[in-house]
Amino acid sequence: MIKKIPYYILPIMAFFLFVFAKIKTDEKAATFSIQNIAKTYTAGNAISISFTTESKTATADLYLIHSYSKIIINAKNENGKLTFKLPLFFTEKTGSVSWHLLSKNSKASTGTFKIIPNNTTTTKIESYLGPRTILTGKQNFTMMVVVPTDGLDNPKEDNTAVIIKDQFQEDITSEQKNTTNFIAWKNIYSRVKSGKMLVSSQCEQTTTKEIETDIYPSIATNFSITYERNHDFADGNQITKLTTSKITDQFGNLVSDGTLVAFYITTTTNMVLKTYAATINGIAIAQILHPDHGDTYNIKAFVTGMAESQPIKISYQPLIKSFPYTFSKENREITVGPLKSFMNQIVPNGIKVVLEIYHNNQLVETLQLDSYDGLAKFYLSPSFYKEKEYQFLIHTLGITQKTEIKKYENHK
Amino acid sequence: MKEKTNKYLIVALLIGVVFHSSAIFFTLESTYDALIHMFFANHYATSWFEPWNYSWYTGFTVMGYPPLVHQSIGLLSLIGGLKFGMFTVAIIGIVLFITGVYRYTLMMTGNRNVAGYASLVAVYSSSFVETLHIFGQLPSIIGVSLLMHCMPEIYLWIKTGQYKYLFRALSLLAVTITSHHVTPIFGMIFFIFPLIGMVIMDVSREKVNSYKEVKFKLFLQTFFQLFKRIVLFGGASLFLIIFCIFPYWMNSKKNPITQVPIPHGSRDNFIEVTSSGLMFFVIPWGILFFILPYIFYRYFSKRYICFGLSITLLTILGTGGTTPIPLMVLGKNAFNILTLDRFTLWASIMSLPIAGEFAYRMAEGDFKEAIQKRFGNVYHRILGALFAGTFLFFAVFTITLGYFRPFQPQKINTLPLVNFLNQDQHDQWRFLPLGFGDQMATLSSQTKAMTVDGNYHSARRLPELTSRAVERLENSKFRGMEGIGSLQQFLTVPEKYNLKYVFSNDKFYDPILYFCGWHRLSQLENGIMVWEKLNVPPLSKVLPKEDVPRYQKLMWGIIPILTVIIAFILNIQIIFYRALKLKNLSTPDFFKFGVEYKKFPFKIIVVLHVWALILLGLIGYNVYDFYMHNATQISPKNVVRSYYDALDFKYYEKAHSYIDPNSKLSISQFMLETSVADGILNSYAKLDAIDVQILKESANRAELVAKTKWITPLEIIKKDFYHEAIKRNGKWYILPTKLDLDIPPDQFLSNNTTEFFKHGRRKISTQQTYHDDVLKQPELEILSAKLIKYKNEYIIIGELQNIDNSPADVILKSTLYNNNDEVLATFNAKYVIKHKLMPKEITSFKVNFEEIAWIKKDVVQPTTFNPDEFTPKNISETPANFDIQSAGNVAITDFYTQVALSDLAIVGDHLKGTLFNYGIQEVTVPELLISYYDDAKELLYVDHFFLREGVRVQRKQYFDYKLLDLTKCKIIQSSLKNCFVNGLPNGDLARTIIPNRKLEQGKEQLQKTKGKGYSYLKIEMNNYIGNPK
Repeated sequence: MIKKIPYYILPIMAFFLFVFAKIKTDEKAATFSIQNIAKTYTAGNAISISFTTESKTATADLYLIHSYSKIIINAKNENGKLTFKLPLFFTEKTGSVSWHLLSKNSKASTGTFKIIPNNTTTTKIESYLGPRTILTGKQNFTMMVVVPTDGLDNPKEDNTAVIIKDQFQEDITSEQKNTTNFIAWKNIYSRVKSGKMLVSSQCEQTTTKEIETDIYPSIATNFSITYERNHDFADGNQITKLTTSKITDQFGNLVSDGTLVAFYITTTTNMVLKTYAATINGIAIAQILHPDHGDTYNIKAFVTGMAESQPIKISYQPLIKSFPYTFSKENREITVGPLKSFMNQIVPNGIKVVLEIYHNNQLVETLQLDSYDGLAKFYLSPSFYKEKEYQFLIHTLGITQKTEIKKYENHK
Repeated sequence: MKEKTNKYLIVALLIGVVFHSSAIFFTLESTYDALIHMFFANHYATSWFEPWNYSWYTGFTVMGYPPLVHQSIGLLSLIGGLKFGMFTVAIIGIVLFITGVYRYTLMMTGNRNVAGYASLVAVYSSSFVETLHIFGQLPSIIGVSLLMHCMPEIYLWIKTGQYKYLFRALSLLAVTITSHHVTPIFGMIFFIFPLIGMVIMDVSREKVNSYKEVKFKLFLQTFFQLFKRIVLFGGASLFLIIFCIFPYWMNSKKNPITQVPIPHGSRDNFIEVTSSGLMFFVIPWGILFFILPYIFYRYFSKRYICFGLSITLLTILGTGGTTPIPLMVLGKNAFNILTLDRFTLWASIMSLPIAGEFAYRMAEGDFKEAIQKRFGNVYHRILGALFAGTFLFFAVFTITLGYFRPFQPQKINTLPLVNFLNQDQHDQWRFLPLGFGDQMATLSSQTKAMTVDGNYHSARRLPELTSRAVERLENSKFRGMEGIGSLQQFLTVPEKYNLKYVFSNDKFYDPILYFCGWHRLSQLENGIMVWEKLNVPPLSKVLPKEDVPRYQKLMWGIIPILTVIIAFILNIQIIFYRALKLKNLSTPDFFKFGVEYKKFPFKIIVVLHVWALILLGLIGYNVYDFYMHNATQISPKNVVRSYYDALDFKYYEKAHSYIDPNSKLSISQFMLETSVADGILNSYAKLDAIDVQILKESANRAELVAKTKWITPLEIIKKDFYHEAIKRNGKWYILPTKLDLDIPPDQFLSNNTTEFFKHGRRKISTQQTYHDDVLKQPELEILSAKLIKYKNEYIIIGELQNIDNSPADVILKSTLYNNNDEVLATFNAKYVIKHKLMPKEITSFKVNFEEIAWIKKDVVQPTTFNPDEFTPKNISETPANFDIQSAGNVAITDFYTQVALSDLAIVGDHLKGTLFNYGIQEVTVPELLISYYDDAKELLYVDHFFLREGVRVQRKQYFDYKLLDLTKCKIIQSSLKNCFVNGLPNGDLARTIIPNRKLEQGKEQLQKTKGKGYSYLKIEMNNYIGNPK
């Protein structure tokens, strides 16, 4: 049985030998000559390139290099003529094309041609404007860039005339620019007034829509502030309004709405208080609460880093000179008040009364209460204040009074 | 004899299917797990063979969970939608469970009546009701039901050695494996090993006359006799476990679970945490607890001895952290990964045959006779009624638990969210739901959009998530402050995760969103607030994924359904014969070993009674204790505690009822005083702990201090409140405390502000960016930037101004480099910056370099997390350089500047001051940015401080801030060289806008002081408006 194996294998091997055998032929390299290639073609038109050869069988591939892409196309040999038809997507793009005819992996022929924009199609315009906001002033500008194209989206040839127009208030200008390297551009300079500027462009019969750029005011310049208040007493309740003059830039334009103005208030004790306001129509109105003690405020406003106001002074008169206080409930309840105001009326509720508790001249604790009907009642719970004696300092409305030392009995 | 249909089983099936399938329509969607299974099912329905899912956790593989149940729902969803699929599978599960209990009981007892009773008990078994209607664990139910179906076949294979039984057993086991992986593995230990023991016992029994004569030697002999069958079965099932879900094992090996243990109620000490005890011990055991002595008595009879050992172990393991035994048995690793409630579930399921037997004996067997003989008919009836009543009560109580104490936020209408994500390409970014509960899975299954969060924490890969014991970011507030810490990192650096939208269903998270630089976009019609972050790049078109070999994908997609088909083919015949009585089947072997219920031992009756009395006593004591603890006005401590509880839940009427009625404080006045004051403490705090101590007490009066700890999204607040309580008519009341008396100056006021609006697109177009509509980025200028070292931490500080004419949203990112220009750390400014700036507004900023918290295993996690703290990145080298990338985008909201600093004093190292709100919006959370300067007026440090109370309109708010000691704060580098604004070098464009910056103006504004290491201060206000009007 085993001996017979070669008889089976041999025919099979023979069969495979025949199947995969290739005809070896001797063929001379064919020569190709150009039949028609123009120097330029117009985009969108069909392009076909043909070659002739003496061989009836020889074929070749055409390798095309274009800025758009690189492709290889092939053609049939029809009686010694090869015609290569370029695909449509390839012929619609402008640019120079170099071609290489490849036959049997070697370059048979080579050359270049150009595809130029198709001026018979409708002109289109691509335009860009930026920045979209600029500041007033001579040195600021926005740039309009226009790329006119043919209907197939190919940039037009250089030196195509483009008209760039801009409008600012009554002032409409129009200027012709020619494209270089496909684009035409213009630096449109800002004005001294803020507002909206519209820009458009035109090429041949085609016009763009309007594009806008906003001219915003430049940075603020120094300004002044004023104040307004109901009365000049330091009641810790009324409000003083601080108002800026109209803040403008150096050309007199009102600064943008929302510009933040910071008001810095320096008190007589050199504490810096502050309040903020954003401008509306150039004016910022901030408010501060009247102090609850006599004080003189020194106020200055800033658009920090850019502008400031002249300083102003506001004085507040103290509401009281002194105040009464009483002890009750075995000295455990301390009633401060009644606090009376400038017309001898009871002060508005919510006046801060601070009680400092001392034991042997050591501060034990600071309590704070708001006044109610002119009174503030402190209660010293025996479970917390266990010492035998305490002394108190009472601060309210800027006045400080010291009590005598009070004795405390047991704790219940 | 022709077999009759078991009427109990028919009744059980009829009742069970009607009862459970009508109930699931109201319960299943608000269970913990059902929606997750639906999400997985949706994954299979849309991409059957692709295990990678992009929706959650920046991508994860579904090979982390056996697929059969999900695939079945997915397949059925093609007919009638996902919910149809889920409900159908649930109903199949119900049928399988009831029949499974029947077959399992039949095998155990060999008595068809008992099996019928057991199937009836199974219908209302509280553990089953809980698993289905509260937990929604469909795969677990299907897994255990099939295991029960499988057991008689295993018994018969080992007993008879007929291969048809082996194949049936293995086919059913394969289905179990592909539906739930834990069930077969532990099922092997807890169900199949005892079963094998029982078979050996039965075979031994056949050799002698009674079980008494079965001695250990005989048992061992029989074991060796059956050894081949046991090994064959064991080997085959081991092969199936590995083969059927092979990709699962591969995935577990490749992606080991790095997740730190997430606390689960089943690991609690049930005595300390009674709610966990109720959920994971009392409810699953239910009525079975009363007959526990009987169950143990029966399972420790000789035939069932192996089951006895198994159920003992299960019972003990089910006690969770109550005893140290589970931890010792399972080891630390398994203890922290497994949820221990499943042991109780299995124990209760294992008890069902005995419970059925008990019910049978009680209803019509020897127990009835014994009781009637001893105590009379009436007692038996009362006992029966009580037993049945309690049984039904437990089932009803369990099923309605979700109604009385909702486990989930109210049902969210997801349609507006889905529409929002689809519109205007919002799904090009990730989103994050907050306060959605498990309904986030529903949203995920309805949209293509992805989220950084997810609902299957074993599959997480981001270290930010795996290093935290947080179930989901979405409910991070319930995981203490640790969750908030995790959330913070996502919100501070959202561009890392392409996270642009947050859907907030919980106001609690609003402040953290605001202070991390997010802003409100709009409220959808379902009440959910959409928050947005600017300057976040969209997701790239191609997202990373971990691929698996094709054979694994095929195995995963084909084997599970194939196991069902095979099991169906192998078992369908026998089911038909049995159900339709087409053919008389031979009686299975286990019928021989049924016991006759002749004489119920009196001892057991006594034990049962004593046990029941002990239990009732315990329950009674607990109820009393519960009442005493919760009786609101029984002691001064209780009334204060209840008062804060009521305030925490905003039950103002209830809180008011604890106020002394003699104080004549009307409810409306109380409401006014309590609820009008907005602020972080009043509106966003969750009471975390309260400790009430009595300072002084007499019979009718007491002084107390309530030491409270509040969790807020921004920081932990500890505050002591002092109260006085008074006793009137036997009830304790709180005396009202005084409140803000400040009177605003004006009754009516007007206010003008500038508001902003930007059109998203002016032209309706689907183009990604329509050139005309892109707004110019506002120009910013970084005024100073410094690298400092403070408390061993490298920090970037500086000042920044919006120098444009439009308001800006500011994002500031800083990176530290070493000498070789290698990145050491990078992070964004979090709280210490004003993210929204008006034109020309200045803010100070600080960037801390945060590490992904506790990423290193050896770093001990703090037991309580403070959101204000973070793990600073350990920078081993000294940074040589830093850069700052800032970006401005046009912002239109959140610029409230009308808060004045109206008083200031520096007392010692305290900065005390008053804020006054002169605008017409209530400031909910005021933040102070405090900048420190040295004597050359150079910036030294920036700190922040949140006021606990808000500032209402025309009112004052006092603050007291402790100044820092900056003697050790060191400026390492001060340079504007590597600072960039909108991608361009800082200052280049700024000089065209401000040719000559007046630098001295900023310096003029500083507050002089004599501090430790500093000489000047600057205070800025950042105001968060919680409810803009």
